[in-house]
Amino acid sequence: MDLKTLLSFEWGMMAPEFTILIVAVILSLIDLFGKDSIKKYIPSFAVAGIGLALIFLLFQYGHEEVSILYDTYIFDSFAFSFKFILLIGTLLIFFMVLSKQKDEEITDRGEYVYLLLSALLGTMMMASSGDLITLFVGLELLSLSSYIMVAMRKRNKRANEGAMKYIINGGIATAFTLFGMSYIYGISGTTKLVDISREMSSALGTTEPIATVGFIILFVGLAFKISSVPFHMWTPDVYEGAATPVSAFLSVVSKAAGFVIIIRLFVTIFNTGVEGNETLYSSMIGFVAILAILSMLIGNIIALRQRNMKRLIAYSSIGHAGYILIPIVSLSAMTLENVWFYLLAYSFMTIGAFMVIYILEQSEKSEDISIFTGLFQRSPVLAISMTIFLLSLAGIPGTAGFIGKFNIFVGAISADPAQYILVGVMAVATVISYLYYFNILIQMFIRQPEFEGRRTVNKMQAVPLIACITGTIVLGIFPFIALNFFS
Amino acid sequence: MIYAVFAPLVMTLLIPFFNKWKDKIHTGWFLLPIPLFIFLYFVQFIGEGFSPVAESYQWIPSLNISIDFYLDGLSLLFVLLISGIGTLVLLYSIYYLHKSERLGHFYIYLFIFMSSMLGVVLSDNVYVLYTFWEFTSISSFLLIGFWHYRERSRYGALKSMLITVFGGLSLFAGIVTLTYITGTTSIQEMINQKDIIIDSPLFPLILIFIILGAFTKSAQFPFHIWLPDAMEAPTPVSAYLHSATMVKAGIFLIARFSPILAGEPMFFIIVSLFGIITLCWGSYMAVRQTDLKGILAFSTISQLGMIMAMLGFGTKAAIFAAVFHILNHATFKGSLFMIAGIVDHETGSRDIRKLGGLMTFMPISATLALFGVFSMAGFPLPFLNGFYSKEMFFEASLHLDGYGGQFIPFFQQAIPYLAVFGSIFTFVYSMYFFFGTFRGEAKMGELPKKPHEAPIGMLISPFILVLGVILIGLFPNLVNGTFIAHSAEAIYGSAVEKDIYFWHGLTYPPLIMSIIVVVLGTLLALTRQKWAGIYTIFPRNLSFNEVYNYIVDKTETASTKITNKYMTGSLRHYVLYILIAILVVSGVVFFLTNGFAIDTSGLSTLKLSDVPDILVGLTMAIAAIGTIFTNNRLSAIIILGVVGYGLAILFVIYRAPDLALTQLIVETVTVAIFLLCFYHLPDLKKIKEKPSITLTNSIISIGFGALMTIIAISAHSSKWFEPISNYFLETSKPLGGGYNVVNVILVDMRGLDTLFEITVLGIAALAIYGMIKLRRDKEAK
Repeated sequence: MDLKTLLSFEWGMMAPEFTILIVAVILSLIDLFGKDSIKKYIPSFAVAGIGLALIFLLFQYGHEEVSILYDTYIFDSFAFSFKFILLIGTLLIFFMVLSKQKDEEITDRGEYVYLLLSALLGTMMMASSGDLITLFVGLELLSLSSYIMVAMRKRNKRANEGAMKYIINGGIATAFTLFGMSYIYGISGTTKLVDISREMSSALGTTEPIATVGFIILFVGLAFKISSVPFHMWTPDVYEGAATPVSAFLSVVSKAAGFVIIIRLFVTIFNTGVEGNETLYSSMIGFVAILAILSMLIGNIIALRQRNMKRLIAYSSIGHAGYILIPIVSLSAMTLENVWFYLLAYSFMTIGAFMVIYILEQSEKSEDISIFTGLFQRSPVLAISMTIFLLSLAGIPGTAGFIGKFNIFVGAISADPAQYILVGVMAVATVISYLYYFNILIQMFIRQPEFEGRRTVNKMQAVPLIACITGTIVLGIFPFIALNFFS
Repeated sequence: MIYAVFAPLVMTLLIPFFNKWKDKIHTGWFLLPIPLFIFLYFVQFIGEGFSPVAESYQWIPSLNISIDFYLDGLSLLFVLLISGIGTLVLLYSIYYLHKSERLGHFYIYLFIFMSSMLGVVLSDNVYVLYTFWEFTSISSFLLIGFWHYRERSRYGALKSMLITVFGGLSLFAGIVTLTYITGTTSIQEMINQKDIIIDSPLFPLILIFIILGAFTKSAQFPFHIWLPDAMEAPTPVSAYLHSATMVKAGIFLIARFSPILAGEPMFFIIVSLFGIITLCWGSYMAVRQTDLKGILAFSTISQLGMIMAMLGFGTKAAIFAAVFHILNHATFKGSLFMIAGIVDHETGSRDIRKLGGLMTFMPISATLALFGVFSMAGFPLPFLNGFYSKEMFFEASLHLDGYGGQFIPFFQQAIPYLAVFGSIFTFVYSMYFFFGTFRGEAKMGELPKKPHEAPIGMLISPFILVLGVILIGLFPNLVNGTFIAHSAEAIYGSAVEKDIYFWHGLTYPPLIMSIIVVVLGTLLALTRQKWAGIYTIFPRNLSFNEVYNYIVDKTETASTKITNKYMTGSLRHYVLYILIAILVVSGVVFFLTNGFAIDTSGLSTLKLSDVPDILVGLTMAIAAIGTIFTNNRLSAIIILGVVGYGLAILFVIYRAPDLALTQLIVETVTVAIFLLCFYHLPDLKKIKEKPSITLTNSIISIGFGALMTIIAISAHSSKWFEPISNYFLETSKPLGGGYNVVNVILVDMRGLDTLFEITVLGIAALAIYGMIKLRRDKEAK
């Protein structure tokens, strides 16, 4: 490749990624050599960087498809819309980070910030990659950054335990992912997704058992990122151990990236076939459906008895992963839209819930569910915010969560063949989830407070809360804003 | 109309401001005009020539959801109930709730409810209806838990929320299916497509989903259990939500969908059967209550059952009676709830065993209660509206001509008897309620407060309601043509006209039934003490509360069990589950796709010269297995090293000395590092596992190993392409000028990659150097 071809690529399309990369590098340099007076502003710089990346991204709205470096980097509407979620999610998490002025447990705030940025960069690469290699590099960038972030609370025992479990589980998952990829490479002879897909559309994709094995092992490996069965066990331990913004990152951005990669890989690689031939994907749908069912049931049932709020959200996030797998099972024209919308709604409500927990855990020094007792009397603002997030998570109409579930529901019923079993399990899981979501409502509204004094929300804390509430309600009442944006 | 629906909701934003002056003026006074105006607005629609009005606003165009309001006779009836009773309840609450209570919260919840309830009855779009529907559940939850310091209210609030929201979900499933079949979200459109819906194979499902939604909301047997516990709410709430409006949402739903569902055998059987059961069960249970509000709660359940049953009958007369009874029930039950609240408020107790003889202290309340109670009992007097609708109910139960009878003749025969049976108990608890509270001996000593008459403001609302009871009783045709007929028409589908008379002649069967009720009821009521034992015995273990508690408990213990068993927090288990998952799935897939077919043609045959290879291979295998059985970390790592060195020897045998060298170095370094690390770790603890666990573990690990081996061999058997090595062997000399292929690849063909790799290593080295230097500098300081 000579310089001319190198320059002929439309590098401008990578502006969001470059922004994040450059900001991360500059911030790490500032952190190394800068004065303390400047270091204070590192998180704010990061927010500005993400904002800039978001602006660059929005300028690309409606841009035609672009491919750089022989399809290793592709820009399409899929990459665009999912990067939007990744950026918004990380932005909200940075607001969370900013809301805490002084952190006794994490003294290296600089590292925290640029690790978050590099993880974000990893997820964005995953969204745009058209090649197994870049996909994997993005995935590992995300994973490695996350491992360190979980371990940031050095002196915290739970953080150490969580980080250890995370890295070991993550290592195994990576091994599986690579193993699966190597099989796919082995039988298709290429790492480029388009080419693999072409190879798979021949008899190879449907008759070759090795392809099936590759499929299964790859899926199991990637299940780690979306924390669905069978790779979900790390979730509660890690969420509990990690600092709350990191937990929020793992449960929102990292999970969204996991879905991005799953859709990219499985829907493009395995779902192409010759007319009339059953594709490998459609023959393996049962497998994905079983994972979805197990995730929904296990996540929601175990969440019932959790008293630690972060563990509770962790289990509920396993359940939500199950819900989001449903549209992937019932593949239709609406699948992408439904997954996208649910992830967007999920970002707002989950980060919001984490934010409330974050505020309370700072003032009460506890993560037990009792921090919510009598919250409505101590801080009506927090109680009402949490109510909105919980109602959204439970899928009550008027909130974003409802529209998300509704889309999935309708998508599954109108799919061909209709996924009645999945819909039924989803309904059962939803009813179970009412129990623990409403229990928190009870704690907030109908219980005497166990902690004394009123709690106020300062300005920095209000920013992410307001953003999340607005997102949850606006998407719930006017979902077409987002849906039009997507299409 | 949209203003009327959302006015209360918008008002909630202002409530905090009004609440600031609550020390001077009770917050309720500011809010009173809102429901009153809504009431007056909708009253204008009443008239002989009423015709449905529709309004539409865009909401989610992409999903074909718009906010459609549709005001027909049925909606009008409910809207007037909601705003009318709402006004009275608000007025009542001003006197009932003291200024020191959290009035702001109370009125915010109440107004959210009002908006949602208006939304439910006015929406034509099923999804909008569902949205409002769920909001009524949530506001009810908040109102039940209003007195947050009471343990019981917590239980009641969660219970009502779980049951009604579960019903909501079921309703949701129903409407999604309906939309799926008809392709429309408008109820009126659906009614037009009735045939398509009924012919659909999904019809039974839709029917059950919708009925479940209605039954949970309207507290029908066996979902009635939430209503008595909801009585923890302040009395104005009980009067409003849990007797006059919210619990009738289920009735409304059934009525709304009647044009589609009615006429189906399944609909008839389920709705009328459960309606009748609820009627009997509710009135029977009401007799055993000791709490005034408990009696009224079960009485509401039973009355709702009666209305439900009439909707189930589906005949013209039955529907007319149902509509009439909805109105009547709201008037007399509303007034009775308010009286119960007054008694509670003025005496400090609702326990009927402690009350008695209040007639002398509270003559006005007692008089009002007298009318309410006898109307509820269906006593045949021309100024009690309850009697008219009850008599129509009896009449309807007698004339199911060939309608229900085709399905189950016995059932049709039984209905009138069951109706009378339920009504007898209705009569008994009505008498018990009145005479137990207001007559008999006063037990002053047991009451927390000295009883006296309530303030006049509190009596206004029940007075107006009782006035309604009497007016409707005296001039039933006043509401007939203008109001009830339109409503019944909306349910039945075609015009329903009926004249209401008090007197049909002495041999008129429903009158005889009424007289039987009165006679037997009086007997039972007079001898109540003797029967008391039976009332307490019968449903003890049959209570559906037990079932609810059982389900909730079981779910929670199941959760605990799973958590303890499965989420042990042990990494080993985590990995175990993953391996099992892969093993099972791939095993099954391999088996199904016949992937075990192993092709040996590509393999070379064993020769004598292969003996060293085999020996090395065996040594490696033995060493690998040996690792498992050592219980010392250091020896384990050394034995594992054998595997690595064995591999190096294999490389040597296959004439790849550079690979062998690399392998040797890597192996040595790793073993050395491991040794260094492990030296500092504590000794391995010998964990004694149960043999069964050891067995499972071995099976899983052997299975997984076997699977991997098979996959590897099978991968070898399926070669789809030329091996890539041929290319390098052929081109290494002409392109790179060297015979050592590995070297050529490293320095020539992939030269740029190597350069970058070296750069990365260099940066890493620099970083390590920096870290060490930092540490030293720190120590030096």
